[in-house]
Amino acid sequence: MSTFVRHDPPTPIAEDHRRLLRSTLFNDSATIEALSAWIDETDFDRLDYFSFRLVPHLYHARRQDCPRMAEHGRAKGIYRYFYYRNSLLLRRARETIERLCHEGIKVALFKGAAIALKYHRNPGLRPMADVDILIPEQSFSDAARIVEASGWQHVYSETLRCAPRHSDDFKHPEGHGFDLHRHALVESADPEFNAGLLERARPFDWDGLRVHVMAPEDLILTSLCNGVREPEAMRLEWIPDVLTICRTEKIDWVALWQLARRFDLQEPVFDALCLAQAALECDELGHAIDEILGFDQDFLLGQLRKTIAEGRADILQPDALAAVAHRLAQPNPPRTRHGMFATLRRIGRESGHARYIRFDADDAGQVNFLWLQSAHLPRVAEVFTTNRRWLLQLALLPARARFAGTVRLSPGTLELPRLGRLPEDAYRATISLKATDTEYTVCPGQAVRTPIRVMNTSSHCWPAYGSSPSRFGVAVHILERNRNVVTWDNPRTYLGRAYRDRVCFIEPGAQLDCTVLWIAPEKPGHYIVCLDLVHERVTWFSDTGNIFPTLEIVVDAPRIDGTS
Amino acid sequence: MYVINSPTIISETIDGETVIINTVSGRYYTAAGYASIIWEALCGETPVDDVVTAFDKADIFGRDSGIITRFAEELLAERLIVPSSSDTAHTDGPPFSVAALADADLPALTKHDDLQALIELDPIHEVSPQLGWPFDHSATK
Repeated sequence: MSTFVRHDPPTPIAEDHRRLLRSTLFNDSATIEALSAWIDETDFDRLDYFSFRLVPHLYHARRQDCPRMAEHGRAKGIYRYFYYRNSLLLRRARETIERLCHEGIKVALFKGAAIALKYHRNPGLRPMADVDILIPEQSFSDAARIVEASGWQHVYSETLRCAPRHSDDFKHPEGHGFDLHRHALVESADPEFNAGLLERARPFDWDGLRVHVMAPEDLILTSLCNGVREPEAMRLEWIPDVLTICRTEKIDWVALWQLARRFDLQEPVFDALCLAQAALECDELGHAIDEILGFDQDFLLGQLRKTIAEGRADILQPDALAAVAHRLAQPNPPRTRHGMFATLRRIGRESGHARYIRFDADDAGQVNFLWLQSAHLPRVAEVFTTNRRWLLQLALLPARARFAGTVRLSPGTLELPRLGRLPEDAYRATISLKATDTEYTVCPGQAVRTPIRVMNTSSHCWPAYGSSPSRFGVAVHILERNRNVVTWDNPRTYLGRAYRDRVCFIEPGAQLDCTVLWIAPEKPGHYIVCLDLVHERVTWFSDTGNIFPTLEIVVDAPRIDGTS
Repeated sequence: MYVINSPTIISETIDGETVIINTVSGRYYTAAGYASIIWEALCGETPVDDVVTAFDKADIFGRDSGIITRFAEELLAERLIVPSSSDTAHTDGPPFSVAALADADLPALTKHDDLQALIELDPIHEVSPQLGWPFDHSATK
């Protein structure tokens, strides 16, 4: 029996995209229903970008059913469009790759082109703007010269060209792209990771040209990491890609997971698998998740502990909770039901986590029910609005005796608060740097990850509701030494995830470890990087009297060999 | 006998329509109905004479037996097919045969040769809803 009732991705795949994926990837009675529902509800003139990119595969897989579709002509045309574009792209890229191979540079194809050629075996199914190849880092300069000599133009300026980014983009005058990777993933510049990918790559005959394509496990791992990197603007082709590879090859999920674990990629890999499984509920991905969790008991326990501490135990099998409590309380496992709940409640109070309470509210914001853990009961009156505190206390009373469960509420007892500013004294926090260095040199445009610890030093919760953009996060401001602003708004690291049906809150006193990402300015010089907290659309914490650490950085133009 | 001029030329037949692409020049061709059948036969190294015989036997083009030869010459002129290096026809399958299609026109090749225009044509909003890309709004079924 699986430990999880369901997988609970923070940003689940939208229902129309789920239907489109199901229609494309499965061939059962539910598929016909999904396809019919998608056809009925889709206005091609308003087709969103993510659906548009799935239409070629849908058309090809379901073209016998597609004549029912009023838009059969346009669906077929979209397939032909990508068949045409990709054929030209692959032809241009093949010429260049042939030259790279001729010069003795090992090339491993991955991402869309590799999967289209080897697994979809059709250039029309998989929209792609470029061809991605991984090469040995020491061959990068030579390879870049060959790519340029083959008619591709470097997208970056001369200054940026030698910065140590994970890949360099080239454009062809016809509009095609070519992506030359030093590192396969932005998440891992570890030379061992990339050397391993190249070493495991398998020979592939590309219409007479002998190239290498990443091993299937590596293709899946990179697809999963790339797939979920930008959850707010996530393309979906990676899901058909992964499933097609799974259906073609026997995948060693344990080997894949060991690689992910070794190079600290477990989180995106697991999140991506759960996201896809939540949408598709298919045997292939269910088997993969079970195999990974069966192999990595430490990771499983970590996931269970986190799930309980965050207040999301509703996604766990009720029968599995006893086993969970038993294992998490080692070496002194609880012997009674009371002891089991005490263990779970203790985990539910562990610090260092965002908390979540699941709710159902009507359009007017009236809350009909809550699902929560008893450890989080004291926060209900704070994160929601109530004018009938006595009624709320009455409703919550039986819940105190349990570990977790549903609380049904009479109309008018509880409502979602109007979004807006919290009391002034709620915006009190500290940020501490995990590293002791506060001065260092970076390359122009370099992506830097700074590990920090954030503490809510106020006496209020910091709540964020459902998928509302009004969330709490960390970011930096980049200033010149004379305090002139270079970039004020930079990428955010949010303190908790935005689940559609949950309120997320950071309790008073909670300390959360996270990593803030920032991009160094392109112009060489001295800069100050100021850490700050934000309540989106409301305020920066630095505007409310908080003083946070700063970093002093020197942006130095790298030498032509890529070192700074 | 002829073969497809690969790797420059690629083609795919789907739903009775063949898409042929010159990946060097970017020219895009479509061949539907009988044109698609003839393309498939020729690329499968069926001799032109055998194709002509099959169409004659099915009495598809009446007395004009030059239709197929002219179509093959057009394919050759566009360098979509090239003479095969093999002299012997494949004999391991049944002889090539053809049946009359309803509402099919004489074999013809539709050519689109403006690569930039093809790439820039929005496949949702700027195309004929019936025919789809690469046929723009002005095209009709």
